[in-house]
Amino acid sequence: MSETTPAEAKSSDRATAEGPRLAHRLRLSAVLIVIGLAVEIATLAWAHPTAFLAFAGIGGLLVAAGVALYLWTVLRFTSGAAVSS
Amino acid sequence: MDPLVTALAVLGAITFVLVAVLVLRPNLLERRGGKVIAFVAFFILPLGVTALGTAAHLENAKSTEFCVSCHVMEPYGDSMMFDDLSYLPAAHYQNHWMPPDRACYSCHTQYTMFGDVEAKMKGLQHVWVYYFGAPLEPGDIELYDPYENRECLHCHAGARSYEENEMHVDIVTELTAGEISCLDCHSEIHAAAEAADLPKWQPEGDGDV
Repeated sequence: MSETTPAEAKSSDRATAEGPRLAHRLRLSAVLIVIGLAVEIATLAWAHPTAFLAFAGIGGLLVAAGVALYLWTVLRFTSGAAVSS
Repeated sequence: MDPLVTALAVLGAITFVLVAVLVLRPNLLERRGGKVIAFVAFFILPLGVTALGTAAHLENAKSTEFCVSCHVMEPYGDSMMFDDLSYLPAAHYQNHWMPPDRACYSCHTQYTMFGDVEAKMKGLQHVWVYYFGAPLEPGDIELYDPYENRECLHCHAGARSYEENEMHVDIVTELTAGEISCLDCHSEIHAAAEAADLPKWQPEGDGDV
């Protein structure tokens, strides 16, 4: 009864294989978000149009890229699991 | 420090801690609670900080310091310190007829429903031209549209000094309708081209206006 079905084994193998890749993508997403937020917060100390450009053009883009990467990773992982099961 | 900036710094620090925990212990993501924390740390908080940061920057953009930080605007800032108070910016700024830290914004925002948005959009356009185009010399800068009385009457309408002024009494209707411009008589404005040569007011004390 506790035997693993071929489908479960395949799913488990896939999860094992994707684990490091998932962790790697999350790390990358984390780095993008943390650097982006640091840039965003740093620019708030400066009242100059360039500060807004840096906020939106550097900080905003990095955060957006980090969030997009996170969502893409989660969706891919979830859909992969759903397909496997 | 501005409370909003402090709040953003705190939210940023919380995000950093949560993200660091999840990166260092990715096995937390296998639990439901971990997934919720990840969603907050990787999605809700970063977007929240960005949204609040945008609001803080837009608020910053209303400050006098912000407006005169580009060198093409410096003579316009200088005009607020002219010793001769017949110049409108000097009289308004030095007498605190508008908040000194919102001096430019008080008079150069259209007091309409989308006046703020229009001002910000034009501001972004100015930044673009400043860096990637050919900015005009300070003395050559002109308004997009003729200055509207509405921007003056936003404060002056109803004020005794305006309503009972003998020069205004006979033309109040025309002024309200915009048929006569306030600037037809009050024509001493920024004088940006001569700003460097005109005598400036030297406030006593620490120099703060």
